Amino acid sequence: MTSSSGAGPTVSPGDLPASVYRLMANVLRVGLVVALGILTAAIAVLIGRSPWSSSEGWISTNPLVRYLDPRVLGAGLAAGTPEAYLTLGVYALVATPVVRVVTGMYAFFRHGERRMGVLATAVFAVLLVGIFVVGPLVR
Amino acid sequence: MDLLAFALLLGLTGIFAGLVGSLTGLGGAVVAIPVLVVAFGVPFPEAAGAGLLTVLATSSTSGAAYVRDRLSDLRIGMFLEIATVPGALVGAVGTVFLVHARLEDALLIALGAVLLALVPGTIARNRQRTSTVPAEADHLSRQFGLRGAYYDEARKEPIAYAAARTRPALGVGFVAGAVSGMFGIGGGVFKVLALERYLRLPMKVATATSNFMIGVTGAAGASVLMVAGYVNPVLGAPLALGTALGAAGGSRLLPTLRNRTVRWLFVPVLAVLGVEVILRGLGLP
Repeated sequence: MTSSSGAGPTVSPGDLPASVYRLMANVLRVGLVVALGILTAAIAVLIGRSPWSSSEGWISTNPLVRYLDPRVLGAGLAAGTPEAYLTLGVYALVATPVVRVVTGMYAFFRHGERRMGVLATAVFAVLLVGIFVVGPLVR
Repeated sequence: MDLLAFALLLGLTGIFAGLVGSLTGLGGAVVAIPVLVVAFGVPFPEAAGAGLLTVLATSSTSGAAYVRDRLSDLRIGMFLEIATVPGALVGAVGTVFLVHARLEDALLIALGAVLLALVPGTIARNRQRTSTVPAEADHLSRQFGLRGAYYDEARKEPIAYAAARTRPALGVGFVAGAVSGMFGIGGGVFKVLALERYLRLPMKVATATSNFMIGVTGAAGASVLMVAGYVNPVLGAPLALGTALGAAGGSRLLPTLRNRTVRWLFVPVLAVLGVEVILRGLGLP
C-alpha cells in the first residue's frame, strides 16, 4: 500500500479499505470548493454592487438572518440576490462535515462495523438536534 | 470604513491568521477572532461566528489531506465526536445565553485567558516525544476497535497504536467541544490533548485526527450561532477565504522553517492578543 503523496508505504489505521478514505477526502474537498466558490462569487457581486457602502451597516444588520427562512432563501436565490448566495455558501460550509459524518455512517455499516455505524448515527443525530432543535430554541 | 476596504482588510487578516494558525498548529480562528474584536471593533458573538466559518474552511482543507494520506484515524475521530459535538452545542448555547445576559465582557476575558493558557503548551509542543510502544487498550477501546498503525516517514517504520483511557478522553473531548462552541475557535489544542495524553496516540495521528474532528465540532457550534444570528457571511466569507489561503501557504512554508523559530516568532502574537482581549473585556484601553 502506498500513500497518495507517494512518499512511502502507509499502514491503514484499522481495517477500513482505502476507498473509504478516498471517499471521505473527496467529500471534504468537494464541499470546501463548492462552499468557497459560492462565497467568493457572492461577496464579489455584493462588493461590486455597493463598494462604498458602510461596513458598519453590514456588521449591524446580518443579511443571513433574513434568509434563514427556506422560502425567503429560495426566492432570494431565484432572484440572484448576493446575500441569499452568501447564506447558501455558509450552509454549504456547515453541511460539509455533516455530510462527512453521513459518509462515515454508510461506510461503517457497509463494511460490517455495526458498533461504529451506530456511533456515527448517534453523532449525526446530535448534529441534527443541534441544527433543528437547539438552534431554533435559543434564537 | 467602506465595504471594499473592509473586505480586503478582512481577507488580509484571514491570510495572516491562516498562516500563523497553520505554522503554530493552533488554527486560524485563534488569531482571527481577537483581531476582529480588537482591531475591527466587531462584537464578540459575531467574531465567534466568523471564527467558526474559518474553522470549517481550514478543517476541510487540512482534514481532506490527512484523510487522503490515511493519517487521520476515522474510528477514533468518530468515537471522540460523540463527546465533542454535544460539548460544542453546550458551549454555543452558553455564549448565546451570556450575550443575552449582557455578559459579553466576561466572555472576552475568558477568551483572553484561553489564549494566554495556550502559550506555554504551544512553546512546549515541539519538545514532546512520541513513544513507539502502543498503550494498553481499555474496555471501550477494544469494543470499538480503536487501534491502528501508520507509516512514520521520519523513522521509516510502521508505528502501531491503541487507544487507552477512553473515558477521561471523552471528558476532555467534551470540554474541547464546549471551548470551540463558546469561543468560535477550533479547540484543536484540547482535542490533541485528549488524543495524545489520554488516548496515548502518536503525535502525528493525534494532530491529523484532531484536524479531521474540528470541522464536525465547528459545524455543531455554527448551527446554533447561525440561527441565533451571530454568523454574518459578510464578515465570515472574506475571512474564511483568506484563512484557507493563509493555511495553504503556511503548510508549504512549514517544512522550510525550524519549529523553534516558528514558535518564538508567533507565540508573542498570541500573548499580545490575549492581553488585548482581556483589557477590552475589562473596559480598559
